[in-house]
Amino acid sequence: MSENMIEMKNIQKHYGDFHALKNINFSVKKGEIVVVCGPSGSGKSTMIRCINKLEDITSGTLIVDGFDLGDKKTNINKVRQKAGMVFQHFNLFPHKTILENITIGPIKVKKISKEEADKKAMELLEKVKIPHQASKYPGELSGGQQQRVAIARTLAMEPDIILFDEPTSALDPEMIGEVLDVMKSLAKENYTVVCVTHEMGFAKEVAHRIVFMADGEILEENSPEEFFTNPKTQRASLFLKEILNH
Amino acid sequence: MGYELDWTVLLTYKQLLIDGFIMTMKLSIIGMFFAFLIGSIMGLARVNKNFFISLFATYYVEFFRNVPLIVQMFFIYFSFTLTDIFPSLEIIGNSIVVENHNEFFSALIALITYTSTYIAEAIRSGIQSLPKGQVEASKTLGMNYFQSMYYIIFPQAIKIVWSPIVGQFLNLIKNSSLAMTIGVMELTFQTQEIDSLTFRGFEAATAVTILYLLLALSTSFIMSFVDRYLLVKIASKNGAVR
Amino acid sequence: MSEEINSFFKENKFLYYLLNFILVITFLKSFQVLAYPEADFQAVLTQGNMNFILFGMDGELGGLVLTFILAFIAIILSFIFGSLLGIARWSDIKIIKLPATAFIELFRSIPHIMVIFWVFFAMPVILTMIFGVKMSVSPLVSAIIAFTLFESAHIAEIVRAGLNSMPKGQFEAAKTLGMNSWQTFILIILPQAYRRMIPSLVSQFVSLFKDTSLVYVIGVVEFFRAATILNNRIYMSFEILSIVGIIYFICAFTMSQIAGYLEKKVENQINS
Repeated sequence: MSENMIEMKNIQKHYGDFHALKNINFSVKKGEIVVVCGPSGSGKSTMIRCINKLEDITSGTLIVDGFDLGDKKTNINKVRQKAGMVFQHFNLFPHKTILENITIGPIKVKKISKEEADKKAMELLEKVKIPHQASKYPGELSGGQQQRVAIARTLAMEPDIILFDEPTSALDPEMIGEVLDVMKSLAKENYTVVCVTHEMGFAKEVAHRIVFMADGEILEENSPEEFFTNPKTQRASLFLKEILNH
Repeated sequence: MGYELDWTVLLTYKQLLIDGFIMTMKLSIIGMFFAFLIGSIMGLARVNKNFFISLFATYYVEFFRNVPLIVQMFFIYFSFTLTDIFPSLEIIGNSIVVENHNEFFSALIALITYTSTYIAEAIRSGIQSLPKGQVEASKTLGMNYFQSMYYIIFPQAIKIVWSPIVGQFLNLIKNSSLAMTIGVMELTFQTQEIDSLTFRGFEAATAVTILYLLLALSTSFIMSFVDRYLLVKIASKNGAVR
Repeated sequence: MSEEINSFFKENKFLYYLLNFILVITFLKSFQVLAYPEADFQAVLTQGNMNFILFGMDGELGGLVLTFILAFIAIILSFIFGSLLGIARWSDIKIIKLPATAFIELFRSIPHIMVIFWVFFAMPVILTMIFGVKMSVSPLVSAIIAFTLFESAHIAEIVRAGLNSMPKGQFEAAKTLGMNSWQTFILIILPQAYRRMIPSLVSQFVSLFKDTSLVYVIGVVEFFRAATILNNRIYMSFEILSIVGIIYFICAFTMSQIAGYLEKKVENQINS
């Protein structure tokens, strides 16, 4: 069996008449860190959301950690435990405390005991550097803090894959750094990461591979050094120019 | 009614008022419980992704909302003898000390179906007002449909629409008065009773109005306790907890 | 799977209505077969019977026609009175705000049939007291008065909510144009506020339409009462009441669909 954690072959996705993903062939090895970038509307969010079946594909083969997502018998909830996701708008549960946000998955889905889950959650909060917020509610935290809690919540499920969907795009500039720091520390551990982002500095520092998408297609795939110094397509060069000028 | 008001008839016939009040309470309390239960199920069904589940829930809601309550009561009462079809109703009826089972349960069922439609719509709008990200986040944690509904979606939705739901409970209390038209001896019925016995309709109606007001106020009061102690709390930046 | 079904029916609206039509008829028929197989609708749906419940007795106004007339008169009267009450409660002038609030809260708390009874029994007495001569009031007039009383309380709340939803900027802009309070109010605020209220007002009309069935209790021969009179004559309650229910449903459902359509139009207007 291949060592690919994620394998997408000939993926097509249509929204009615709109062809959102065109012939996507994309695979990620275990432990690899892939950054997906591109202009808005390029389909990068759509593609990453297909990986944990928040979106359905129209045709093609999609295998995540050995599970065929096209197979009706696949238990998607089990797959989702293995592939956590961090959202652009955090999506914390406003009616639960920070601690409860982190422990609800392990307790209700993985059936871990409350004591164990609480202990693990406090460790994670230490890791993302906000242990003192444990009994507060999401509405009382800043954006950067909320996103760090969201990351802790994902980590609590002990996933093999972490998907990031523009994790810093909704943050005020001064908070982006604290979230990127957490994401960088994750890179040192053995997670498989697919990250949709505009933060090219982060990509340069930790990514093993950069995937450039536009208009629903993957136009370029390369190592960060190659991509930034020697983009192969004109679209990519234009994109880099725009991004780096801001 | 003459120019002189005679309030003493209320004391003489206070048992009738008490009986009527208790009957109204029975209709209201049981009605509120089941209307909420069925309304919640129908509200969830309305937003279900399955085409047929949401379609049939729409049929339920639209049908029982657009047919007047009194028509529903009459239909059940005059077309069927409930105690023949559901013999267990006799037993249930006796256990809650209700005598005319057919009248009571016909009125109760109609009240429940009618009110549940409004509660279903309230819950539907509550669920739809939540950001899609809430469902998505619960899915990414591996929760199935029931888990995300029970722990994440439904608690938030109820909190949001609690005020309109309480409004529907109050409507149910008022609508219970229609049961008198099929012979249930609730509070409004007793107004007519006392009037026919004493011709003091004005005094009777005044007393009954005050009793309805009391019932409505107590219900509002109890529901605000439910809001404070049973429903989830959602806190915002300035520390204000809802 | 459901995504495909949903988009299919969005394309083919006609097929959607057809499917609904077939399903509804199937449900109704199966209910009838299960609950009351001996139903004989032919016997009920005679020309004479339908004439009676739709139009009332010969020479008199009644039936479904009377239901609509009663609803229209009541909604117009309650609209006028309710608007005044709603504006009064919304205002900050204590002298009109307090009585308006008391009236609204009172008539929102009392069951509707109690109001109907009250008016029916109290009206003759009050009139006799005022005019000194023994007066009587027809059930229809009592009904109209009773409806006006409680419907205007509901409409007052709709008006108040509509006024509260007006952005402060409107009031301020009018002031900077040099308009005084009355001008601001009538020329700028009211037209916009009422446009926003249209969906709620139509919805309230549908409620009123359904509530006309309540005047059964004082003997007004509108649609529901006529049906019960017919039932007392021929004792076919399942058939008669199902027909009544279905006709009420068709009328009320159509009106609320119109309300939904108006709501979309108003939203577009506000957002443009």
